[in-house]
Amino acid sequence: MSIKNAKFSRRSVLKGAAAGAAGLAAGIYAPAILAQNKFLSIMVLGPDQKATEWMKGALAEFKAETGYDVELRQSDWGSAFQRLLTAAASGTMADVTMMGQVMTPALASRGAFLPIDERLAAWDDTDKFYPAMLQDGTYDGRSYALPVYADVRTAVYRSDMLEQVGVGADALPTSWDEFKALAIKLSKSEGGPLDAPFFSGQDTSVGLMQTFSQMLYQANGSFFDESGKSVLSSEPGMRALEYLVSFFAEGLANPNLVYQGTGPRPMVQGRAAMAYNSANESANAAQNAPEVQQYIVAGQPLSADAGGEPRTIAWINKFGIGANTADPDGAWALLSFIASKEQSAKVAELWGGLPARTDQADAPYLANVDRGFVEATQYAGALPTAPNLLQIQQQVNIAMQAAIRQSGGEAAILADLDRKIDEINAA
Amino acid sequence: MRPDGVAVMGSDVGARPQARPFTHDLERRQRLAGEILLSPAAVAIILTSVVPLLLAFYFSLTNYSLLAPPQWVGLANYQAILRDPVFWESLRNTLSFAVSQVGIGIVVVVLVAALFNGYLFGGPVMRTIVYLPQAASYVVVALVWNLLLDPAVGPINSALMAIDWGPIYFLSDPAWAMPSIVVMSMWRNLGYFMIIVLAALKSVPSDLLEAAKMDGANAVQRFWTISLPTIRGVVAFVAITWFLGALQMFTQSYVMTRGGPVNATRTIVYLMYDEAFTNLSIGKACAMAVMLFLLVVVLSLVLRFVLRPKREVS
Repeated sequence: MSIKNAKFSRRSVLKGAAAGAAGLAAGIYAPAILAQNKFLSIMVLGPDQKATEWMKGALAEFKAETGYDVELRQSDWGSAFQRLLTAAASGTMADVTMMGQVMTPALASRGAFLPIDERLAAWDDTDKFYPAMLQDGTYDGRSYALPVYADVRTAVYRSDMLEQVGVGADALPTSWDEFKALAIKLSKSEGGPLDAPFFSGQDTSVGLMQTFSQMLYQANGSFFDESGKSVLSSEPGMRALEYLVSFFAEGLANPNLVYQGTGPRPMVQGRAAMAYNSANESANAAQNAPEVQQYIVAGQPLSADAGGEPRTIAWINKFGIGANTADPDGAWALLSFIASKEQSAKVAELWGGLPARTDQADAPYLANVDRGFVEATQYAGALPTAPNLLQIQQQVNIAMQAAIRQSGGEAAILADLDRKIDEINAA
Repeated sequence: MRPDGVAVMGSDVGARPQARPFTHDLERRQRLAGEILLSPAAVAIILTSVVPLLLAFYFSLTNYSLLAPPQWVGLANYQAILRDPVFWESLRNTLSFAVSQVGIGIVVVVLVAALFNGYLFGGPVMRTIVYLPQAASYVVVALVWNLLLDPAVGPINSALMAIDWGPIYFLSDPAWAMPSIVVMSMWRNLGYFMIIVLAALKSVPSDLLEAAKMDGANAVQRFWTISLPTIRGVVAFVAITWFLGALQMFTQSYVMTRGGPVNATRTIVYLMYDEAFTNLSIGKACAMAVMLFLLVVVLSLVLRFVLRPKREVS
């Protein structure tokens, strides 16, 4: 029968309409049906293959315990904030979402996450977390996230290169002056092995800002005063920037040495012997040059003055519950499962961080991590939980890039930075 | 009306008034059919171009963060942008990228096309090789060039260091970052525009070239006085489309340098992206989009005027 001659009976038209209506209804009510089938979703950021495989296994275990089917979503760190933002705006955020340090206040302040204070108050494990890390998941007095691991920074060295200039692992620097003196010893101009011994952490993200932030804290500085005004141009800020810039001015660091995000980091390549970094440096060596890993040693976080208190910063990554979840109780079950003693240690191990729980301070995987990284945790503070920190840290990073290239005086750079940050916060 | 009864539109208007209603009806039906046939495309254009443009203009007058309803702020976003030195720096970067890429690129494209038109061996194979980068996405090309330009493990720096010239920090030295991106972009686009110019060169009348040859003109003279003036319109088209595309550069900068170092490769579109997805300022990003749109319109009119064929002048 040709199409031209085709006839549709009333019954077939009705059947077609019924099928269409059923399809439409299925589309509309699918989420509700899936919710009845105990369906959840989780978004993780920056997992490698090993972490993804482990996460699938953990979610299967969760299903066996609770009956929930969990969809695993992933994103790289680079585009994570954009993905979370657009998901929050379109109401498609995962029920449970991983988030980085600066994303928490940026998204929590805009209502993207559910507060979890009541649930934390009723949960037996709450007091097992390091209080500072738990505090880092709060915004405006309310808790929005549970920490799973911390990226704790400290001074990191290449012990084999230090030995070349007669410095043993038992004589690592503890203050800025000692750190600088070691860099001078390692420089070719003083007979050492390196052109530029100190790697500033500069990368295509905000690595330079992270190094400056540690120096700022070591100089007993902060980003904001009590009223929320930016105070980077205050005396500690000036001191930190002058110290950072001095490495470049004295030829102890190369302003154009930038880690592009893949392959061995400069210290693993042997192009530098000192940096401010975390256990990530060791993980990078294990991945790219295993023979170098044994030489990556963590020293104590520095203090600006001899005999002063060591200070550093930890970047704390967490999980929170999306505000659009249809099943807050199920989402909490999943969140508390991931943040439990057994699972969170594995997250910390696979994501290359240190545990966020006190009862995991002796987790088996830490046997392979230099104890210096673990011990640095006690000196770690967090960045301020400001809603515009994502934007602010980029401005700080750009200003630092300009400063280390000597394109302006430090005082002018910091004053301009304060003005920009205050404008961002006022907008 | 023709003898066979077929109406001829407009041929007998006024002469035979009795035929008018039929002709008029046919015209009306043809117009209606045309409108119906055009309507899907028109609707698609309205939905995908006109409506977003109008929405962008509306949002540019608001304070909007995606996660909260927009609030009317009038021209405040435009004022803030014009006061921002990073905007002017990004505009300068954008224009310098577009001018240098197209300015150098168009000369290279014409020369390579001319060589392919008669002097290079293995024409089809070579043309395919030159065209190949166009087949890869900018992201892939940028990642490959990241490796090529790497100061530690990249082959280019390895070669330079072998002759004591390196390393050059192509992507992390502010002086080198933008030129490196220009070269990479030119390499990627060369094949596409070369094919267009080559097609134009192939269409240059051979009798003109032969006549010139008989008159004693050498290859360079024939190219300069006959081929180039003949394809001038195509070259202008290539220059305009390439330039306008270059004004929207984003991917290379995002993948290779993240806009750095020290904003050296931050373009208007990159700044727009940052405003929208880092600063959550959709209104300001839309205001930049409107300004870029106006810039593109103005520059395209200027380029059309400057590169118009000479006969239009007369």
